[in-house]
Amino acid sequence: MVVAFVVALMLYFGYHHARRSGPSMAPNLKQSSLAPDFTLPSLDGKPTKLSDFRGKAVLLNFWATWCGPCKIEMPWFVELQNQYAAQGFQIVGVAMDDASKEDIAKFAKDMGVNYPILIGKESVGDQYGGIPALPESFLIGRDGKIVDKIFGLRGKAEIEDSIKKALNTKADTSQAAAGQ
Amino acid sequence: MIIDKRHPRNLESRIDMNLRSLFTLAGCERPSFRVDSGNSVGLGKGTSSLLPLSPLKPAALQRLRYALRCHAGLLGSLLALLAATIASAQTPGKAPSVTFGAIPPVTAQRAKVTMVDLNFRVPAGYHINSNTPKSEFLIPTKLSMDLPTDIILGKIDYPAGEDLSFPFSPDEKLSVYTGDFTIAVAVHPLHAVTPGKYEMHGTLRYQACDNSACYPPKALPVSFAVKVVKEPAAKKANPAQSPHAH
Repeated sequence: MVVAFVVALMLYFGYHHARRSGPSMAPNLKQSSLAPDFTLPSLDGKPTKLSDFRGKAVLLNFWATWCGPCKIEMPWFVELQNQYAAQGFQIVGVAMDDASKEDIAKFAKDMGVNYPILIGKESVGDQYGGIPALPESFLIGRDGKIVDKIFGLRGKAEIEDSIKKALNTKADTSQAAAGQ
Repeated sequence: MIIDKRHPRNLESRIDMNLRSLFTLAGCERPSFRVDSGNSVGLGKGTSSLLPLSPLKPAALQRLRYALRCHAGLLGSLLALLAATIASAQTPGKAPSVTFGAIPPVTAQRAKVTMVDLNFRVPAGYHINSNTPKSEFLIPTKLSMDLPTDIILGKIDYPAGEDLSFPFSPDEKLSVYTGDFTIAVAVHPLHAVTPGKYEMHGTLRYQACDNSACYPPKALPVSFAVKVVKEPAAKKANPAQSPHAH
């Protein structure tokens, strides 16, 4: 009886969570762990390192040109970049795409993207839990630690809340000092 | 007498087997019930520390006592499983897989075009782009067949996509396939093909999304058998009547 009840519960919760259309957290990477550093080329070919943005609150957004939901949040990102740039906020897009660099650049231009787009590669995706689906974003505090993860499309207000969380972090001055 | 636990018709052995599974799950020491000739039950080696041997107890009571002792562990195990199930459901899963419904060998006549219907299924809750998506950046569903040597695989007929809008883009309609859809392939064995069975191979490339996220493009291997048969013998025309025939 107990077994049947618990198994039924498992099936019920499993089914409903699996069918839930809302996004959930990406696996593997824990919040408050240091965001894995990487170097990727930007659309103009310049190698860009994630740690170059240390001291800023960063929204690291994995996306692709073929991803419909990614296209929806891009105009929000453009607005949020404008809105919070002065407070030390930076969006970094990573295109996990098979499309050519030119196509990615055209797409970004059409969307009016005002933040750097880097050409992603699988190994960087693996560093961030494999990126099983897009869009997927990581909010990184000024100290380089992950403060939030967003899987799938969420509302602009929720994204903004996460950005504020990242902005409320303090830069790790000891690391900055060590780096000088 | 040792109970034969392998015999499926033996009720007692089945109870034993079920209990064993649950005990193992709960981390209880595996009991080894033994019924002696005096119809009393004992425990096999290695279990005496868990429960004292009481030869006078009937077998069912012994088992019940075991079940109660291990109940907490069992419940704990099941709750842990429940938590694991919820946790795994909360994490983003693997990309959904479109499935191909295998079809029986298709009979195709030489020198004639035969259309073969290939049936696919998109898992519930997901959609894939149709063959003609509405944006240049969306990845179309495309079937590519390997080229055989003597059998021409001609035109591929894709179904029209459904024009649907999704929560992530309510104002825009996308051309998609959901649920079951069929792609037809024209099979044309040349006149010179030796009659017999041939295996056709190909790949369906698609890219799936749900209501809030999209998954990387995937390739699904597709194959079906074609049985090539000779064209029917031409009907013999009636020989012209000889004007001299009698």
